[in-house]
Amino acid sequence: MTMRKNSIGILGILALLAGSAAATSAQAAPASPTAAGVAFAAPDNALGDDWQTSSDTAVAGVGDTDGFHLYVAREAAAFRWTPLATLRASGTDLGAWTGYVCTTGSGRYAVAVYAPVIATNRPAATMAGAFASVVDLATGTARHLVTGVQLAYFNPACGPSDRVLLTRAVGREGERTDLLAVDAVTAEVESTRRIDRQLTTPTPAPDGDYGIAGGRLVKVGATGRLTAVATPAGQPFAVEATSGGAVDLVSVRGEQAVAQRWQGGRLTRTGTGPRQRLQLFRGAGGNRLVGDVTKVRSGVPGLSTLRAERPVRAVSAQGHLMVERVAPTDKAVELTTRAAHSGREINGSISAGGGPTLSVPLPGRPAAKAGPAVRAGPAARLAEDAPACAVPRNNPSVQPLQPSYNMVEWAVEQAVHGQLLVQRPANYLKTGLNAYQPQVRFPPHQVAYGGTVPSQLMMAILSQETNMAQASWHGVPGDTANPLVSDYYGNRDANGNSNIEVIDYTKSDCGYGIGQVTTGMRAGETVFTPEDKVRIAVDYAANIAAAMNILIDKWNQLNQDSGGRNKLNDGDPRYIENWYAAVWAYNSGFYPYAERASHGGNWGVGWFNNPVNPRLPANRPRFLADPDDASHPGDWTYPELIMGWAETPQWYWLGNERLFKYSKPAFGSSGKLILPNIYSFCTSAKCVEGLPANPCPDRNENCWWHGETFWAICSSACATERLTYPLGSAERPLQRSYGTDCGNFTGDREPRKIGPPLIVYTLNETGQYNLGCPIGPSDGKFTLRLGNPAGGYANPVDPTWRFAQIDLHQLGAGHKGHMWFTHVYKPDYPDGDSNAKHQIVATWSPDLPYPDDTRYDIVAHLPSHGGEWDTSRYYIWPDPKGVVPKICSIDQSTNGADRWKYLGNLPLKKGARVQLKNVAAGAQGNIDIAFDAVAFIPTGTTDAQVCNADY
Amino acid sequence: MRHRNLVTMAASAIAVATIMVGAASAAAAGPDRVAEAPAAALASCSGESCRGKVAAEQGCAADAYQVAGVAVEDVPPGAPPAPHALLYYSPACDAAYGYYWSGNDGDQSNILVQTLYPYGGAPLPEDEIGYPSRGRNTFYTKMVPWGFSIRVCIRPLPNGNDKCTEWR
Repeated sequence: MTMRKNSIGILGILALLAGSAAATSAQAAPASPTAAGVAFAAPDNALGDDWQTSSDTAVAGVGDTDGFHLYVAREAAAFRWTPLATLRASGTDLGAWTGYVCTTGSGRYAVAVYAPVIATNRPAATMAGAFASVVDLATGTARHLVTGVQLAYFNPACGPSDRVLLTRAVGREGERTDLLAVDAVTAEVESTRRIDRQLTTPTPAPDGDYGIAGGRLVKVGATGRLTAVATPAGQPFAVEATSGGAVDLVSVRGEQAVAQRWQGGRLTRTGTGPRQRLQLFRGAGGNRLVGDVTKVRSGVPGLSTLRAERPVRAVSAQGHLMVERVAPTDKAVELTTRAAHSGREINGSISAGGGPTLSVPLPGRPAAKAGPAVRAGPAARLAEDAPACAVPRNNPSVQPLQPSYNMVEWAVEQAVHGQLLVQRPANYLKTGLNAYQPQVRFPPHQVAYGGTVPSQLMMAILSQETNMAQASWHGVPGDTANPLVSDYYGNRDANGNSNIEVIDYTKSDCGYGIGQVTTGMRAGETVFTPEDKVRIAVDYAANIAAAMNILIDKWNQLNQDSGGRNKLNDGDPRYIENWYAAVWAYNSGFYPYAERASHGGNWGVGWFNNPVNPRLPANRPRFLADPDDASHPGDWTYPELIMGWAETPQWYWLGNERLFKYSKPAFGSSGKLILPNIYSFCTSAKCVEGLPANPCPDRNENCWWHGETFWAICSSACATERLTYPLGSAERPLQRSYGTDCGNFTGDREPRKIGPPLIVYTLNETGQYNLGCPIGPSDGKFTLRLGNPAGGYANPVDPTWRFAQIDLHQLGAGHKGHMWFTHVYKPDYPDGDSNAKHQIVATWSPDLPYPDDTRYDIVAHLPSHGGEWDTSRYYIWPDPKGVVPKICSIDQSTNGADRWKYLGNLPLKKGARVQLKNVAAGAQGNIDIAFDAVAFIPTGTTDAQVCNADY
Repeated sequence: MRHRNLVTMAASAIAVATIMVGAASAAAAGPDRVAEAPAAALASCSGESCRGKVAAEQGCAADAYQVAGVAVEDVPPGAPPAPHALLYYSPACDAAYGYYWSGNDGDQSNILVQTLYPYGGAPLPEDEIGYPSRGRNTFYTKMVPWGFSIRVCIRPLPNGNDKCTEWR
């Protein structure tokens, strides 16, 4: 059995943005807005006398599942934070967003580069998958600049004017660069220069563009040719030009940060400070060194200082305000800011989001134009529409259970020790499969040089990859849902976004479940039996058993390569630190010795995840040293992210309490992981700590690592796993996020009922309800029709249903534990009421047992989560021959409770039906609408309930 | 992720789901039904087993009722019934079938029953159940299981535009 871990697709990380913001789409109604705002209460004292006439402005950006939000604070308003804009992409829910923002020299515009957090799991997405937009600071109007730029701490790069530089890393390891120059005023890309080197920290100066390449300060010519102008003292992590023609930069040299200025052909030192305590920000009128500035020269034109006691995230244009913390919480943003004038600090939170929203269209192959209504044969249509991934979505017999975190931890611990032998009964989760045991079906691979995978390392990978989700992340623990499949429709762009108007099954990734098992999961592949493919898609335990083998295979690849063993420290796999390189390879691949001829004679692990790669800030602390780090994971390599999650377990919120999803490892003598420093994988003879600025100046052997590296005495200092549950113990009980509404609907609250209610469920085969609620047969038919016109008959060349299915989800919520949901879209035309590619019409057709024109209360079930649309218009057709429906509009929000609501009371004829669709004026495709059970209570001749009444 | 009120269930859903295997189609946990008199005790097929069969021959026409219809041609008021198509549903047989009144001596059309999978997906082949019409007459299609989205379409030969009922 061989399994490949690709360049790690995937629906991963969602990075928890402090553990909460990566909410599922199928969530309950948003919490009430939090605090009224964050502003200085006594601004005369805090900000000084002139605050009311100041034009100083600060901008901050932070993401959550709704997008990347920009906020602005103006000194004239006592630095009260207000929403500026929300930036996102049109598509299905993409998890949490992350990004970077700068303000242009004129102070009129903010430029943001942003991407879903999942981009940090994919080297290609990190290098060239982010969006860039410009936002008018006065109005919040956002304009799209370009799609497909680099997610990096130095991107975007503003300068003294409104000219802004953006980068795109090119090549498998990011060894080349596209440098884009954009005009924030026109929102146009003025030029794109291909640079045959890795260029980082660019800056647009009045006399041309500068940056760092090969460890040198370079000037970029009109054609992308580089001219080296100076050699910095160390590895630069900040480079900023001034309007006066100077370029300031700060480098890491050992434990020092060294500030230098290049001007007039000379590079001079302007100051030093502790490595993590001297930062450089560009502002109005010049640059500003911030932090411990006691050793910074004074009197340098255009270079001022600002004392700060802790690292800051942003500084206002004129330096009057420092933003020390901006972190997402549950539907809010927490801010800590400090006034430079007084040193006074304020903490608070504001509601997340607000301001105009820019939803950028995703790239991808456009859908074919509607052609002539050629009536292709059905067989041809079916072949064209055949998904590449083996296990389908929206299939009632494929409803994986979203496990709770205790179950995942238990399963990982059992798996790494070959004890994941829980007996799955026949028809487990209504799959129709035979009984099995996970690690009998997927036996553990042997770890080279003995030992096992440390459980916390595996937990960290599952956290990073999928937030420990086996089912679609629309489902919270306790829900069943569609399987979690990476790029099922082949419509994901480089940064992991799904374009809901593109389907290209030839590009499907087919990574399934909590560990994103990819190889063998395409239709027709024979690595796994068809039954085992379903087990991997449905059962988190089976998936963990299979996924662990992928990681072991990477370890073995490193340790058994024909070029020699690639070993860290003592090479003992029991120590988490010793897996650093295997995790590196797990993300960005391993280049075997045997294939070195294809890579210029080089082999090992590549440059992308080398911690000394200048795409990461050289002064960064370890990941999760500050929990807020989770909101900007683009500052770290994949191995650093994994080691961070192993050291600091991923967390979630229970009310206001932050709980870890799994236990910490057993640390060695230092009480934490012993991580390599950024120079540990340098292979250049010149690469001693602090020198040179970049050990990979050319695409040569310095850009690769293989062999042996030592940085820790593991027998005493490294971390080993810590088991929470006994090996061989029983599967942990499910901890549900929401209760399941298993209660029978009796209709007894309706005193006028003349008989039991009829209930039309959302699966016609109610035996497929798999959350365990007792359930009888459905009293009618439920259908979903996708696209407009529905089906593929009208236009077989480009049937619209194909696109509507992308944003259709089943969920183990709602009455008795099954419902469907999608999002509400606006009509294709202003006066229309249909949407060709996103329309979904749900129809409940009861089998009415009473004579025609018997009256019924019609009652809709609203799920605890997964339905939010506040004007859901239910169409009631009392007569199948009639042409005029009765419409009842209700708010599906329920504040997290399952609820029944009346749609009205009507005389119904046989063939009557109720319909609900997801098209409404003003919709933006981001609010849930649920299709849950509908009940019909017969009331004889008595008119009873009215639309919108609570049951 | 967002979490509310985590509730630890005494029994896992998995365990409960296991207990329920195969139970759903047997004893209903819901309330008893009070229905009209069963209309079609003579029904000899149900759902999928009715596919392709003639309703009248299977005892499925007795309780069938119209659930959709469409006028294929407009005619002046007072004229004989216009050509029209209907969709019938038989609860007893859990099946549906189409009806077509062609109205014209020279009529030549294909009568099609189109079906979509109940929860989306590729359309099913459209022309296995219907017939070509010839002349002025009534036509019934064969049956399809009710558990799909269904409609009847009339397609004038050789190149006319479809006239279809609403989906049911």
